[in-house]
Amino acid sequence: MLKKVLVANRGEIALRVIRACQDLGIATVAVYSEADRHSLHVRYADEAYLLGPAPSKESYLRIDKILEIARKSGADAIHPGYGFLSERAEFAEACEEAGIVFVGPPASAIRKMGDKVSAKQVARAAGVPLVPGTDSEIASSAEAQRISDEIGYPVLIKAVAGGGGKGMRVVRNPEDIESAFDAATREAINSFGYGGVYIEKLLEHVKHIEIQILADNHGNAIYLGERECSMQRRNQKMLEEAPSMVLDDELRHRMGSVAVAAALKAGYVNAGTIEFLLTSEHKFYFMEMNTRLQVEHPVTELVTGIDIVTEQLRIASGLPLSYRQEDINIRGWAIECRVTAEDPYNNFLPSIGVVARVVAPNGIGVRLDSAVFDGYEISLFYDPMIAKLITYGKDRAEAITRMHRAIHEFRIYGVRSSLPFFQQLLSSEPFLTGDFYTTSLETNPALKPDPDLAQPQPDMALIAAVLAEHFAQSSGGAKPASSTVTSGATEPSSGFGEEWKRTARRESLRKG
Amino acid sequence: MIYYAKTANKELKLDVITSVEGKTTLKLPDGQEMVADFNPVLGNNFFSLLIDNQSHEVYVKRGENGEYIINLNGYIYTVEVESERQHRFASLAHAGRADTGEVNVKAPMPGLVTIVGVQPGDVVEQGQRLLVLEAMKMENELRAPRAGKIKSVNIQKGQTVEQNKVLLVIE
Repeated sequence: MLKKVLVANRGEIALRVIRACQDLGIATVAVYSEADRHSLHVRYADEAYLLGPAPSKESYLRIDKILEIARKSGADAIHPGYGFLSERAEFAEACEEAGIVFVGPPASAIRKMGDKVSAKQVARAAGVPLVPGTDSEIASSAEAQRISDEIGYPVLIKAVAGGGGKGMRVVRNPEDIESAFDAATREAINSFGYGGVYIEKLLEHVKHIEIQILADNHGNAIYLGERECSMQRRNQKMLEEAPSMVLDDELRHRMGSVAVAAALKAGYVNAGTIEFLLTSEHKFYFMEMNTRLQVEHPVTELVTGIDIVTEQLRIASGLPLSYRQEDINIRGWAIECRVTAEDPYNNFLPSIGVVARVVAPNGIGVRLDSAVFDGYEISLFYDPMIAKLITYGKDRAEAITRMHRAIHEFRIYGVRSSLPFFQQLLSSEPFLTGDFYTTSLETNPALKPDPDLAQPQPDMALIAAVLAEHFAQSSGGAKPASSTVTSGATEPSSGFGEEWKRTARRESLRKG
Repeated sequence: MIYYAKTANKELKLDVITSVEGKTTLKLPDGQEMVADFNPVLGNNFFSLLIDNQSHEVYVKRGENGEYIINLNGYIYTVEVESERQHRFASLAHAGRADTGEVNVKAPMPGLVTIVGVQPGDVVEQGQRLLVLEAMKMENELRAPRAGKIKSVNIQKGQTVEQNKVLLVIE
């Protein structure tokens, strides 16, 4: 078993990996940028080392520094999490050369499956159906135009090195292809340092269904069922669930089997995900493979009872899989909401600032994977996702009910979040009936954030504001904190000091 | 004490009466009365509120212009509160202010200006793309809130801007 793992990431996923290491008795090394000195991953790990300034390019993307810290701290492995360096073959390769275990697939498999063009070739060889489009990257907008005319609009332009919706554009009309090609290329250069793009036919009214696989170094590979990830905005997933309403055992088995075949064909090892588009006629097409741990892995963990990150670490230690395919049973239902610091009622604009106070939900069936704490600063430098709220129930209805309850309990003060919108989404007819597709969140009016639901109790809010003003005036001008919140400056609510203060406040109220 | 509170589309006049025993009663203009227990949970901005025993949670933050940003049961409201005296002054000040008809297009978030699509003098349609602001690695297009002529452009490509900075003015 590995002895000490360096976690080359930040936020909730760094915590997720640290926790798995602790469960296995593995020591942990955190790395952090100057902006993350106070972050929980720094505080929860056994050791922590500064990488550099806040921008990812100068910190979490610095392969040289991360390897130097791994050597200095004596880490025998590096877990890359998701995003950042997780799908960079040269990083996996640099680890291999340095004699440090990369907790993930071999560089060769990342290269094969991470590059979307060669991934298609692997998929085809493994017998996985493909969406019409190019197998190679396109050189110019003129070429994009020609291919699009051939396969028919609408088409999708995607970054070869892409992921997470960056460097991706939908084109419906021939006249838009040039600007879309340029925008996708530009975004790809900015996000991935490489501007290559390819093109494929956009299938409509399809669901995004992905299969989680695990493979070890001994030639074993299994699938852990599917995740339904069709609820997407700007190609970013917002809500995921497992299992999917539309798969039956037979289809699950077929999709799972080809996913495993593709993984074996690529020489894949460790956890990975194969993404498919599924039509209403139960036809499925290979979309891409994510050669890393997925954001939404918890829903699979809840319905299978398997700790995927622990499995990753076991595989990286050279152990065989702990499960055989026949051990895998899907039980119950899990839903994940990706809570972001974005204002759903203002076109999901990022809400930057300090989380003054966070009150986490809990209770039966609730799991929260989050790195937010009182005083956490949401900055421009990193992803706006601040928490993953996951609920589990014996069936879909129970998981949904529990999600409503958990969102109601979840309070994030100081910034705006997408939480209120999820209440609408979870109550919407398309979501409840399963009548939603990869484009529904952006096109179905029932799934547009409804401003009428943004403020359900305006009268009570007026009363609360008046009481706040009255409270401030009566308690001797002690005004509530202004927009620059002095977080963490207040004492915990329990204890003698606070009780004394409360009594004093009550006394002063009497004077008013 | 009498207060005036308003959101974008609602207004309320409320009389807050605190008795000698510390009990707070709210009186609405129609004479209706409610008992309020506005109880600080922690600090001076996080409260448990019982209104006639109905339970609410309130988090209070002050905006840049003194307005209250109220998080009530997880939903956010912006409320302006005035005392009776402030209310009288404010209504006097409001009369006499003319609308110039100019629209300031402000940065909705801090970010990097990657594209500026217009220059002063350009005539724009409502919904026309004005510029692209990059934040959190996503490109955000800012579009014209209404048709008009670009009066001024206050930024250039490659510039980093703070939230609420006036990027350009449409007249």
